[in-house]
Amino acid sequence: MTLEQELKAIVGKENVFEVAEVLESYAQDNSFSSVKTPRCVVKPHSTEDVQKIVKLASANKTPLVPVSSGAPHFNGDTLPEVEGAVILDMSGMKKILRIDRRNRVAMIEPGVTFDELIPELKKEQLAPFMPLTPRNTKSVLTTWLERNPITMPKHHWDGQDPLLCLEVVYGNGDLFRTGSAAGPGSIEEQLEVGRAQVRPGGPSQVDYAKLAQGAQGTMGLVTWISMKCKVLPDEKRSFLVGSDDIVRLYDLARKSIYNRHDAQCLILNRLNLASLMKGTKEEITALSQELPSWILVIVLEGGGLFPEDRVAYQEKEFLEEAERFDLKPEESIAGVTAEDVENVLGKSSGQDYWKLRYKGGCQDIFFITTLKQTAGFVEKVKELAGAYQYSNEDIGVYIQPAFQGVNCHCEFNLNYDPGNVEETDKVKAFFKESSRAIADMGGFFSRPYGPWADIAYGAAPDSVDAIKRLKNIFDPDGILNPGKLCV
Amino acid sequence: MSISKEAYRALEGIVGPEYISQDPVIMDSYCFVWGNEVMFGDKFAARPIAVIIPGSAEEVQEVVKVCNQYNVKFRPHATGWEATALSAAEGFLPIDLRRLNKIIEINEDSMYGVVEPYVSIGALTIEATKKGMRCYSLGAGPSASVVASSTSHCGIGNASIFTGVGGRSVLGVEWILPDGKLLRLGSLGAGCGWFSGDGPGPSLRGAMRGVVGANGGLGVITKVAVKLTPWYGPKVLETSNNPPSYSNDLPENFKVFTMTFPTREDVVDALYLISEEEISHVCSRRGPFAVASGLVGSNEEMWELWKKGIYQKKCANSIVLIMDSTSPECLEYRVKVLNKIVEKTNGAYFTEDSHRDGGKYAHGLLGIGGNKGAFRAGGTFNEGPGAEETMDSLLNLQVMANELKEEFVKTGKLLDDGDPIWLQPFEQGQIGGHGEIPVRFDPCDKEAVKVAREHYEEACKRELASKLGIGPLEGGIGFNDEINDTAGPETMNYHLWMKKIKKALDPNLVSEASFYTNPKE
Amino acid sequence: MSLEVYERDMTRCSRCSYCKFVPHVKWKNYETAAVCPSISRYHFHSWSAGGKMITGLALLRGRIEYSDTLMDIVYQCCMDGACDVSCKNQRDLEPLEMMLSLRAKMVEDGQLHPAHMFAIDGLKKEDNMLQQKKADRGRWAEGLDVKDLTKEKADVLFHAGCRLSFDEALWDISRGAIKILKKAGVDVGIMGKDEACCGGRAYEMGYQGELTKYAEHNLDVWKNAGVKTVVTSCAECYQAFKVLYDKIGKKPTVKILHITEFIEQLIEEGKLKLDNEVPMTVTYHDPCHLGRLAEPWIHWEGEEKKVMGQMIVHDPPKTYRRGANGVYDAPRNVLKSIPGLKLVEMDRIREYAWCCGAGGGVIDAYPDFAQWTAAERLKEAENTGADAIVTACSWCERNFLDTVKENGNSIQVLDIIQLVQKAMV
Ligand code: SF4
Ligand code: SF4
Repeated sequence: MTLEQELKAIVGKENVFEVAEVLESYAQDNSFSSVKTPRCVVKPHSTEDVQKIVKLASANKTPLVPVSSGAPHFNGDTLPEVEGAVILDMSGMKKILRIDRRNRVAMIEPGVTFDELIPELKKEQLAPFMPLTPRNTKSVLTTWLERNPITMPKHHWDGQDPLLCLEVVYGNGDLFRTGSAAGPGSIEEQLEVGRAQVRPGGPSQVDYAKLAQGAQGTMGLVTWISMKCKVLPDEKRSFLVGSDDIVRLYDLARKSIYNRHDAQCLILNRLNLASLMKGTKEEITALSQELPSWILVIVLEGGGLFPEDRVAYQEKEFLEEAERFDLKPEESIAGVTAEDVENVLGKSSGQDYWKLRYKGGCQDIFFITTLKQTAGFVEKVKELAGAYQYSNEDIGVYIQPAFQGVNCHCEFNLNYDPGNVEETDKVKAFFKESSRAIADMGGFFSRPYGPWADIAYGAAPDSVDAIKRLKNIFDPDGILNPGKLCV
Repeated sequence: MSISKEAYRALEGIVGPEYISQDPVIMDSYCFVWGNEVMFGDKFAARPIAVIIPGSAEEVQEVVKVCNQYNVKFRPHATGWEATALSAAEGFLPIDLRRLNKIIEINEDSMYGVVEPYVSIGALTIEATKKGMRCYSLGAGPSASVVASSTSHCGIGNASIFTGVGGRSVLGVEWILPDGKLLRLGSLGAGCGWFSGDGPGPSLRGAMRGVVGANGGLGVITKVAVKLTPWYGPKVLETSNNPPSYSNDLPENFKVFTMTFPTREDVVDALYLISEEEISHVCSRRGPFAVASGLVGSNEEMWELWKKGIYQKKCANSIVLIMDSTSPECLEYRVKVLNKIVEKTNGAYFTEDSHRDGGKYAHGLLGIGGNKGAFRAGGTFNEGPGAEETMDSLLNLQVMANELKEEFVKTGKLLDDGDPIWLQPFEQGQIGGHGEIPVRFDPCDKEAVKVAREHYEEACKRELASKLGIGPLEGGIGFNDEINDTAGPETMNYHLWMKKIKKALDPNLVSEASFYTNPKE
Repeated sequence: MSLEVYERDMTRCSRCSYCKFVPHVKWKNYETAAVCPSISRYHFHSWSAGGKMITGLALLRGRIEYSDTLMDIVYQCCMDGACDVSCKNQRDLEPLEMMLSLRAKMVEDGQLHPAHMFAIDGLKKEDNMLQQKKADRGRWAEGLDVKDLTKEKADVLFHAGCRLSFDEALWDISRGAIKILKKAGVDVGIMGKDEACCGGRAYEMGYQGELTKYAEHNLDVWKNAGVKTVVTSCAECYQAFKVLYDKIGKKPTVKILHITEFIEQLIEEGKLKLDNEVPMTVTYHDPCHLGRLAEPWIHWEGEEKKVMGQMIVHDPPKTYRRGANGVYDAPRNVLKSIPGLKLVEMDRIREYAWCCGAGGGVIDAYPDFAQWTAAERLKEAENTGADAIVTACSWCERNFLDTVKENGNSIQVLDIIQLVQKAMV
């Protein structure tokens, strides 16, 4: 039997794809990553399927590249780096396995998207923590598995959040569950005694979830996660705070985080806010011109016993602090209301992904730094844009305080027209040099996609050695997304 | 195990003769910790083969390399304030890290602190407080090390509901692997600073520690950066009274409450609500004995108080809570919420005179007091069943653990202190919390030590059988092969993966792992 | 008490290391968190009080034998009792008493520290620790016109102590004390060459018999002299008279006062007026023997018993000395009475003060360690911005002065008496 035949025997022939068109679609994304066409695409529908496929791939030393979100992809992590790979497309695994109001936890499979999850959680008076307005095809599981930041830094206690436990198939086909989900006992037995897969660490003296997280599928294939959720807020109060001085904005943001306000809290530059709020290039340009350079978005959320009071005291504190910093929180700026922004933050981007609205193409540069350092990076990127004759006005910026204020996700969105070869090439070169410059300035590529892998691991040889030693344990045959990261 | 003359000379060459010793008089104080009697039946575990006190991370690395070269088993310790920090059945080389004692940085802007191993929770707390922050709280008290509790042991305390826990506060780490290689985690390894411990790519924090750490069985951590948490109190917390009843003068924006409830179920319901409402800085369910013992100066006073019967009757199911606030409106709101919660869960405020002056026990709960409750009464204590998961599951653990304890209390060899379970929500209840039953006894009473050991063994069995947790030490102190090898088959065979990790990072198996894991050759 | 009595305490030590530090609630800065000179200087755990608990237990159990290292562990310790305060803030244990018993056992077993022989021989030959001529003991008071109580009667006996009697550089202090007392109209006298050592230091070194000998002698002398009050400006003598004599069942019938207590009283009664401005900033060093170690002795005899299955209590109930009842306020009140003088506090004060380093036989056997400890204290004092470190014990003063000389510190070392004199019109 050929490999394809064996795969068909596992998942059924309707779930194995070999036609060139389909294969091509898995060999490209919106990043500048190099392209290797996979040999086939297989769509499992259960953990058992995944396990069988991995065992088969392991026996055949066939590379497996996991995909859970639908297109468009952006970071190159779902593209095969080597020839002859099988794409394991888990987007069809769409079960929401559990929602537990009391413990504020949900358990989901890889294919579940935010728009699918939000209404189900709502029925239980819960809501997910959100990344910044994801595309509608984005897998919730992958979002957290790849350590995307959430918009609510207060609840980002650890870099792992909001991911709790996960089920993973290692490279030899062994199934494992991390954290308290490991047991003792099956999930059913655990539920019976009141456990709810909420403890992320362990079991025992290893944090297996952390080893699988951020690994772009190289350390194991995750078949479900449990994730923490927030109580659906009954009361919200939103503000936009504009300024041309980013430093003052993050001073205010910092204070709100310090006071542990129940707030979504992020900083956008005008282009990104405009792209989020408008549909076409013209509208975006027009709005952008009216907005201040930087906008701090604050959404105070109150749930629980006295939601109004909860929001009220936080609002008062926030406004007082703003006054101290000589800033003016507004309900609307240039016709954009804070409430509209709040709505956009609470769901996916819908049919058209906001990052593609302005020019059709967008290359992200994101890394971890501290709030204090962001201004330096902004300056640097601006300077390089000048050197590349790339308009500074085409760069979106998103700054997301994380880890309860310790660090932040800093993202530059380089918008370009993919149909324009010259511009595309320019952006490519600009992207490369900016990435390098950012690393040189101390920006940390903690999720090193594509060319960042060389930058990040080049600077951290001790990590490379340790990761390789661990990779040998969890993927002894080296079949899991080979070529990614440093392995 | 012994150490060859060459190896000793090589080690001495690194630190100088003043900082290494093989004198039995000195070595005996390096095999005596409070977990020994239950673990090994005696106050003294195996005598070390030598003791070394390096003066820098570079020296530590050299020491580890020599240990690999000469096959010398070593284990580091920081302040040594841990049940089994210096215990083993066979002698090893303790690396005493007390000379690595610097606070390297306290970063106000990014709310983290960077410390060397001998810096204690008390030390980081006092310095961070001056800048409006605190370190995560620790039940073991202020003399435990930040490095040890965040990277290698447990790292939880009464304020974990607000401060989070040590293991999840870890940012950059400087780690000398068992084979002597240096590994710097996260942003530190990439030369970007201390602000993140995860990546690039998978987070190697996962290999460093799980729900607890490797207890020194996986090399030496020489520096760690940890997240600091907001502190809304004054930069210096004033104190009054005299030892042993020093008390903090609580600032006006803080309040202390003790609440009592008719049933265990009500307590757990209240804990769920308090967590979700996010109104507390400190919040735990403590046993009546623990609640009372924070207020008295000695066992004699404790006995006088206990005889009155108030605590056993009124505080059988109680929660102690310290509320902080960021503004008067915030405080007002939080009090209103708490009143509502107490009403909804059939609770009442405990207004005993001894309890009005919250400052009396606030320092203990805030993590700068000490260990009166655990050690003073009987002389020592040990863990009964313990686990970390939802409060609902810990309620089941509470029932099981108390039944078990009662069977053993009958022997008269464990303190008869009511239901002592400590229930501690973490991170506003979003990752569950911790439950643990301390059993107090006298280490001088051989019979009591035996009973404590039997209780511990039975606790291991019942906890696993009931699916409530891996063993009494879950989240408490640490595991060893005995527990891991028994629990592993019931728990996705995690022990096998762990052994592989140990072997991969410690190819010569020189990092002494009595309380981690030992892969068989 | 024999070491065996403390076997249970030793077994119950949890190795928490609280004894190495100021009680945590009292920490002000990490820099000044340490409280035990011994562990701070020598690093191996054995040098801490907890370490000595373990060492004592190992010795009792026959795990270890006498050796030079053991000698160092036991004697490189100031017996200042800071550890005891920190431990007892948590526990009902007696680390300091245990350490005293360990020293007594060593002496009993013939394990004598060679460097202590100078002082012990001095006692045997000349009734002082400094091997000075007994006949010279009263020389410090020459020309003072003070009553000689071997010949005359007075209400108050001023006891100078070995250090102030023979350390000429400090005579200012003893002489100053007399001048102050006389100025206030106190009927005071001295024993001159018939004054003997208090025996306290020898007791701390493990020579417990010496204390009994001198207690008996001194009580006799005082009785014969017919004094009502004995006042001393040496903290060690004060602690021996007030606490140790009582501890061994020889509680003096006369009133024992430290000079600072006496001066405080004289000021209160209006008998002493401090009207001169002394425009200085000073910080006050609590001598261990005037502070925590001067807490009155609490006698207890009884048995340990268990309640609630395993809680350790005593029959009759036992009250512990936890260090708060030493003499802390009198010296501060005196300083506060001096016009123009500003008192600034160091981080480690009162019952959790850092020792000067001289006590427990350290200055006799390990002068380098004594000075190391003093240097730490002087650094702390200098950090307050004070012009002078003021204390109320001649041994502290000697050690500070030697250290200042060695290290070239800029801070002055003064006795309270010197300041009071300056403030007197
Ligand atoms: S002597 Fe006291 S303070 Fe020191 S380690 Fe032992 S129990 Fe702790
Ligand atoms: S008496 Fe002083 S030097 Fe000796 S152990 Fe105690 S604190 Fe340390």
